[in-house]
Amino acid sequence: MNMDQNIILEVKNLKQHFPIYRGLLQRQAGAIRAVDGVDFSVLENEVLGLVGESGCGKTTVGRSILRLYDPTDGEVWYRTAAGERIEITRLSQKEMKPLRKEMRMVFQDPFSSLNPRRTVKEIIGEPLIIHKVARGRAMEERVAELMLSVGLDPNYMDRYPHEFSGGQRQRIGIARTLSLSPRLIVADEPVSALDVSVQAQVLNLLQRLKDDLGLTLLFIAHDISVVEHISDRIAVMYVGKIVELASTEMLLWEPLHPYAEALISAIPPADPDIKLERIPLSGEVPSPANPPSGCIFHPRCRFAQEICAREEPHLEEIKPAHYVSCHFARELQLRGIGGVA
Amino acid sequence: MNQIKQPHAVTEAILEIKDLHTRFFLEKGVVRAVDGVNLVLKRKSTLGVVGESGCGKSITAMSVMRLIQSPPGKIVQGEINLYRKDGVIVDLTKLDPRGPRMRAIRGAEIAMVFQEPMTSLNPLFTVGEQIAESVRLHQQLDRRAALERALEMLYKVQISEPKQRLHAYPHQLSGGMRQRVMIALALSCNPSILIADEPTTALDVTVQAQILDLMRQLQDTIDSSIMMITHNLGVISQMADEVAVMYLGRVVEYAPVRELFHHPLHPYTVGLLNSVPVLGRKGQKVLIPIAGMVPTPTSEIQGCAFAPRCPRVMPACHEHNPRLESAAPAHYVACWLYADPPA
Repeated sequence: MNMDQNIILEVKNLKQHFPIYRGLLQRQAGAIRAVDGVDFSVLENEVLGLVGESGCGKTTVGRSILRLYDPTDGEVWYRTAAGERIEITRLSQKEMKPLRKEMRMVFQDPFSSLNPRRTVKEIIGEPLIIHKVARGRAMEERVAELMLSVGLDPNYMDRYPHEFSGGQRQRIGIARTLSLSPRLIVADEPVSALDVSVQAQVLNLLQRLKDDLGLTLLFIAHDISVVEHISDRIAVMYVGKIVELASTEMLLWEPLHPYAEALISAIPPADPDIKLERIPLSGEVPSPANPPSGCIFHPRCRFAQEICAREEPHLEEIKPAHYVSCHFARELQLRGIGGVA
Repeated sequence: MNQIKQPHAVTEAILEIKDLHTRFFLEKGVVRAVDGVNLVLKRKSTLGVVGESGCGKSITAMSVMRLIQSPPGKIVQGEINLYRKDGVIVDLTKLDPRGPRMRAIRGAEIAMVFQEPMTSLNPLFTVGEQIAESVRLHQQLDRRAALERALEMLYKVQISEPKQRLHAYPHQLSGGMRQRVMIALALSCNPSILIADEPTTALDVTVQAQILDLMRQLQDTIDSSIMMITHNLGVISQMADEVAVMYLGRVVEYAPVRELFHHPLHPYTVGLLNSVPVLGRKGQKVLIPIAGMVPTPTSEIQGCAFAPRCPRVMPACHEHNPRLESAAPAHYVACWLYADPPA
């Protein structure tokens, strides 16, 4: 395996299945394969964008990595600040606790993810107390510093979340995430609940914090224009698997997987002179409880051959640092945002 | 009222909103949700209405449908003129929202598609029954004929296996199929106006593209004008012929779509266009957020409502509220940069 010193997080064959119970005896009748064998690495101080449509498992990947779920299978290797590589999927919650200072999450909805009965000071300061980093006056000083760093007025630290707008609340959430000086942040749809003019404020803030603090971000979102703006590399997920992973430019301008191509072609370009020419996708997204045989995308793929229904493709490096999971990735001529690739 | 300028010749209009004010009288104050909106929807064209949450775009639509709950809401001023094919002009604000005339217009002449198809369909009835109910409400058809019409509509919106779907309940359908059902429902009585309020916001991008395609195809085959409300500039650029940009209950700019995207005039429109990432422009485009935030809806702002956030604000902006006036052919803007403020 790649022992690159720059890798802060390495995910190997990660699986997260959720059992389905049925009947009077509540027997296990199957499983939702929300994440079904995902491999990727995150480099230090990069932004890796994770995109896909609802139900593709992108949020579950983020949560499994932070051990908000117990992964069904696979490995997650994290390199600590001290340079030690730790496999975290089998750690107990107690063993995880010191790592939780370094690996943190920003949630989507700034309305439901902040406790309405706590003041901003309590919300941002809580992790400091839990991890016994600071309390009392020292905690207050740290909270003020954090509020300043995300562009909030520290004079408002005794106010409650409802007194803030959506964008400000997301800043509160980010300040809380930053309180323990994390190294890796999983940001799950951090701007999708915000108005467009406010989205830009939060995106610019994340970008600045990443540069100033040397953070690494796993940025999960469905809006590819937003992901393009902030990400160094992008991974595209479809029904629990990564189908393509490459640098932002390569993935968008020269996609190699038919699903990535269709996804990119469906984005309305925000320019009336460019007409949207989407590549039609037949049928519906399959259920992760009952995924199709072979390649998960084959029932909807316009290039599907007999082998696609029979054999599952694996994520392979087709071009340098361009990983694709498709039997025909070397042969297909696909279209990126520039038109014909 | 006589000072209000007509954005367009009335002859080609099908719906004309004139100086509309819709307010909500709440305990914490009066919300001026719609505060003097002037809009024209042209026959057989698509008007895009863009703005951020709270700008009054949905309340404008609900006012047209006369679906504003009263109390606390009330249309306090203005006209909503519907130009019928037979030449008769009906001012919808004068009608009783619960009366027979408005009920005959709602659904039959003006239909609406909502954002969240799960909450706007009744979970207890099959898709076919719901479409048939709407058909029977407006047309003299028996149950069987209405169901046939429902099936025909499901074919029209290109649902897969329409015969089976006719007997399906909303929860058995995917989000994209539910939105297709909503569109079938809205178009079942051949309305002359379709109001679509964020019709694709809850959908995935590949499904959104399918629904937008469908709406464009349907518009070519039926005689409908569409008022498309959305915050998504990409959707607007693809769908609209004309665009109205709203901010705090007012239309601040109104222009043909290419004109608006290539030569935006109002500082708020410019700000919106600068603050969204555009696919393929990474590295070429720095996101410039609009300073500050949308004021609380109960606050009363003297002068131009955008002045507190405007990068090009002038003293006059805090004193006088600019009207929507012509700045270029077919291009209307409400901003003192393009008109002389009163001395």
